[in-house]
Amino acid sequence: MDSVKSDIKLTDDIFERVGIDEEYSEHLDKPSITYWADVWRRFKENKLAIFGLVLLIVVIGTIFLGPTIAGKDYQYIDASIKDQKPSAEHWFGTDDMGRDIFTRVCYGGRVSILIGLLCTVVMFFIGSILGAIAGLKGGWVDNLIMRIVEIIGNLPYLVIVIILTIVMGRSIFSLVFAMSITSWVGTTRMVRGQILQLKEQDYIEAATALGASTGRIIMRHLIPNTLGIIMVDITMSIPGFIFGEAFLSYVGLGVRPPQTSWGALASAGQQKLMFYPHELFFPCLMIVLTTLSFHLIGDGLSDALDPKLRK
Amino acid sequence: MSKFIFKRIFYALITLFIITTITFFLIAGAPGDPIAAKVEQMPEAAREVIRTKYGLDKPIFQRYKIYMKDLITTGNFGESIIYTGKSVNDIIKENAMISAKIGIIALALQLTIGVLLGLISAFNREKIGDNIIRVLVVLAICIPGFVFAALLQYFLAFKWKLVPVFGWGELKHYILPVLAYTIGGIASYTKYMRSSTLSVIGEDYILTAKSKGCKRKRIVKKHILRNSIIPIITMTGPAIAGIFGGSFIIERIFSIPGLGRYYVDAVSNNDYTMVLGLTIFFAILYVISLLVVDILYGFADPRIRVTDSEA
Amino acid sequence: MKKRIIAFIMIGVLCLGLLSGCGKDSPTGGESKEGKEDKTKKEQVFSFSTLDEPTGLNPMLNTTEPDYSVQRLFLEGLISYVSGEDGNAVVKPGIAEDWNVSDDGTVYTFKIREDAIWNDDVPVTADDFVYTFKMMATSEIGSTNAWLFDDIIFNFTEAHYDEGKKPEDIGVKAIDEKTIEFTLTKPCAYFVQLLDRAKPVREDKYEEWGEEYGSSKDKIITNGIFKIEEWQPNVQMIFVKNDKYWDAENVKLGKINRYIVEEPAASIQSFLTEKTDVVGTSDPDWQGEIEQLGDKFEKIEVVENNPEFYGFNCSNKYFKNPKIRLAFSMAIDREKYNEELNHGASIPIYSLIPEVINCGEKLYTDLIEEDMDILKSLQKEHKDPKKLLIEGLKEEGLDPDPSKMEIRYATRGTAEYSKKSAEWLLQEWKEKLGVNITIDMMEWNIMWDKVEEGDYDICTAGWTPDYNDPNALLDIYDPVKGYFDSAKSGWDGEDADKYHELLEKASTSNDDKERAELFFEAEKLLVGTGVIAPTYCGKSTAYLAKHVKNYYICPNAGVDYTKIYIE
Repeated sequence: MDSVKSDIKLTDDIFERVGIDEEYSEHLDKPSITYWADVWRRFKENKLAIFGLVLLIVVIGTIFLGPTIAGKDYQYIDASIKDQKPSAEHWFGTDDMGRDIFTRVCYGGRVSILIGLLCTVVMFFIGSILGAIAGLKGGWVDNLIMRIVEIIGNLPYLVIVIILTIVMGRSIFSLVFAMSITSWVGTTRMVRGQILQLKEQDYIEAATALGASTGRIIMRHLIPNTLGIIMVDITMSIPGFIFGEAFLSYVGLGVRPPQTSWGALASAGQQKLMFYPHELFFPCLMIVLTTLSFHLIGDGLSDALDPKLRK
Repeated sequence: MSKFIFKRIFYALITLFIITTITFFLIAGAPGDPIAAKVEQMPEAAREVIRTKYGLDKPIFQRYKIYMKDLITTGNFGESIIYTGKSVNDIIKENAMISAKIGIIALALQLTIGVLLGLISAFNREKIGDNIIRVLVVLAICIPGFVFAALLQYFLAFKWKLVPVFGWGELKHYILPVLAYTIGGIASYTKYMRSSTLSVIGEDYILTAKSKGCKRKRIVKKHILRNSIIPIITMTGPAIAGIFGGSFIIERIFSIPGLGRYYVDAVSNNDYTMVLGLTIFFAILYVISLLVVDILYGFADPRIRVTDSEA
Repeated sequence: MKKRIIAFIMIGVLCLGLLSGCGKDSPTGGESKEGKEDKTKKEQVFSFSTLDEPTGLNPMLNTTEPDYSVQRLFLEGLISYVSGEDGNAVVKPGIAEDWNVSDDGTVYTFKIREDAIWNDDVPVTADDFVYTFKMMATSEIGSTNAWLFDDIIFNFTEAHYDEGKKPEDIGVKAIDEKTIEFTLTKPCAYFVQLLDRAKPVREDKYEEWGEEYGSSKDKIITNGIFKIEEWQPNVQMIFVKNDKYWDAENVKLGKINRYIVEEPAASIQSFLTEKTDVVGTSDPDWQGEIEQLGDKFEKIEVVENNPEFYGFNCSNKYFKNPKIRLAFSMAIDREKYNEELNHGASIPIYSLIPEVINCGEKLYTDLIEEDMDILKSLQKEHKDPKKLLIEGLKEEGLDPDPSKMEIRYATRGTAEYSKKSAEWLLQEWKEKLGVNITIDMMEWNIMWDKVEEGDYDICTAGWTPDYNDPNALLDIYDPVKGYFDSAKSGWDGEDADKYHELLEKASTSNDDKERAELFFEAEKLLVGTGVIAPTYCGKSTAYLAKHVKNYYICPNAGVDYTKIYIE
């Protein structure tokens, strides 16, 4: 250190006065990006997530365009061509009533995905709003909400589904209603737990101490910080509901025939596993692809959304 | 603390009471009746005689009063209407343990493997290991439960003859159901563990610990593991309660005499006492598990002072 | 790191401990017999798997099919109604060695065997049966098989429904310790076979155990062929020969294993691996799989006795018109249904009574000379059911466009088959009649509930006759007292009254030929005006391992386990 000091002599003429450039002081080297643009940027970097997104688009595209291209009726029974293996005529083969499995898988997919999405939306809204209220307000509000959660979480699910499908008639909406009425409790608990944890964090305390309003704390701190875990919950939920529908179909409570769903197709195919595995394989393949894509997207989103993971 | 626990137990009792009441009126109002399940073909007059025997001819509020009085004074769930002469308590005693044995083993495996995979995945974020684990885990749960169980049965029992086709009581009979359960549950633990570990890694105190030169092992154990395990605890509580309930699908496919099958049968047969008894039993377990989780919360994360939610 | 490894090891040990714990306290399952296969076969063991656990083994309270099938293994009534060698049901002396009937057919006297004893060495007496019938007639007991004897045994109905008589007043008397006498209200051709459904309970034990009678292994007493050695609910029941059975020396089987296996594939797999000796399947693919194994098995095909039919709600604005009902009934191509849904494994029917039902000693179908396929001839007459339908709609002053009809179709159950047959039917009626039905999938008990309330348009029904006589089936549509009385079926008016009269007349007749003709007249009304649309009668296919001998099955009675032996 000493030798360096001795080598350089500091004189005034080394420095030049620049002054304040009014124009330049507001200039940023890189363009300012919003929180969401940042999220999208980080999401794009995640190859698996992009793969999931593309996969989902392909699956949905197939579901909606497939039947038109194949030109078959998903209900039409023609027993003379039953249990056929996949062929140029029937891409996914035919089922034991001679119906085209490809077309059925597409129609079933619309039903399954619709159920998954609707249920998730309902679950997400009720669940996170109640969870947030419970976590933030605390006290008797928290207590009341948590008691309701316990009660609803414990009512016999199958009984509710049976009653609702009888009372409301068997339709996609009665199924959605029955499935989401019992499912939001998990989200509520999850969100409440997160908020309780966050509330104790130092930066929230700091924000409170600095006089930030409750609204600002919720918007700027709590939502961005809980979104990650909620996102995981949501992306797990869509496939979860698709599976839930499959379970209900398996016990005979699914959509009203001749409508069909992936669950109904898979449960019919399961009985044919030994002899006609394709009747199980294709509905399952679609479930797997859809679930996979949602999971990958969810993972990507949760990473991208989490402010703590910013690189 | 003891005041808190006492209060929680008081609330739990109220919750249980409400659950019982709602369930009672739900199933009493559900279409169908247990007598039809006992004898499908019987003249109306004979049916009425049997209905009278079980007190089903009485007005619903009177039935409710009788049931609640019995339940509160004796703690008995009553006798099953379908399985004559068997008390619901006995059926629960006999079968809950069967479901629970499979469930505990599976849960232990799920937790261990899930937490481990989640950690590995998080520490190798977006590296090859992470991607492999994520895809594998997602693939494993992308197959609906009944399909997966059927596949396991098909390959392990039918095709390769590694395990018995049916039977119950010996070690080898546990293999299939435990496998089916475990693989179905690993993914959610892995996912939640990964996601919560990632958010913990991003916390300032980790950085602080690192910069202080704290050993990696110590950081992982003292800081990361301890904090990232919280969502897992939230999940595990209800899961422990759930293992006593068993899984209808797995029990049906592998012919296991667990509680899950009884439950679904009881619902479809309108076996009132049985549905009520099982619902209350599950509710008690669930409520207890939530209580335990809340207390554990306090231990895992000292920042959450349980009394806060009371203030 | 070390600690974590230890934790994992501990979890592993915990799992193992649990597993071995399970092994210790539970008895061995079906699988463990594998090693002893050859030995046990010589020991006369017969194994089979079935879907359902009995709901209990109290013969008065547990009367579902699985209950009966287990009860017949360890309990014996006055007579046994079993499948004979020729595939017909036969009445065999049971606890009663002999009986006689009074000339007017209303008094039956049974002589009980001297050597019939319970397995605790107490003799079986007439009082046991008197007690059993008295209990059945007691309304507080809520017996589920008592109604079978309504209107048959003297004063039974009055006691059963508390209508002025007491259970002591019923026409069942013990003449002496070993003689029992039944007094009937009227002659009843099937009374003796009905007694197979009244297995005895014993007074002292019933008083001791009460409702728990028959609910577990140690609350059961035996007077039959086997006794229960082990009962693991929803897993298995093991029976061993009862050495105190009066005919024990002629019973060859030493042991019966009854396993519960719900998955069809698993039950067939266990048959293929010789863990069970008999298996039933109607799936042609599985049949092919079994048959491909060559001649190790014997194929048994049995026509069932339970017809399947669709019931129309005759109070419905459409279905009150017989033409509309008939159009729906005739539009169904029963041959095609059989081919496409049942894979040919059923018998299409064009009238209600299956071919295997007796009317007295002879088969009902043998007693009628006319063409019995009521619907077939109607189908020939009306080539286009749609025309008939439109005619009917016009008669009722309704919109003659069939596509505007709103009709709900209730399934009986939510299984895959129910769904498929509903979808098939939807297409069939759409193609042939231009009608668009709505499918209401529902559990069978919910369907019966809806039928009870009259809240249905078309229901799917099937009926298993409780005794081997056309009356057991025709009776259900008796507008006055049948299961589908006019309140439920909506069937009233002239035809319905006539139907009731015909059945009443048949019930008092002692002449089989006359009864058969009266029954056929009634059947023509029921099917010919489309109150119901019979579709098919099941045919069951079973495969039996070759080493099992003397195993006979028929639809109307159970297996005769006294004869079976293993070679």
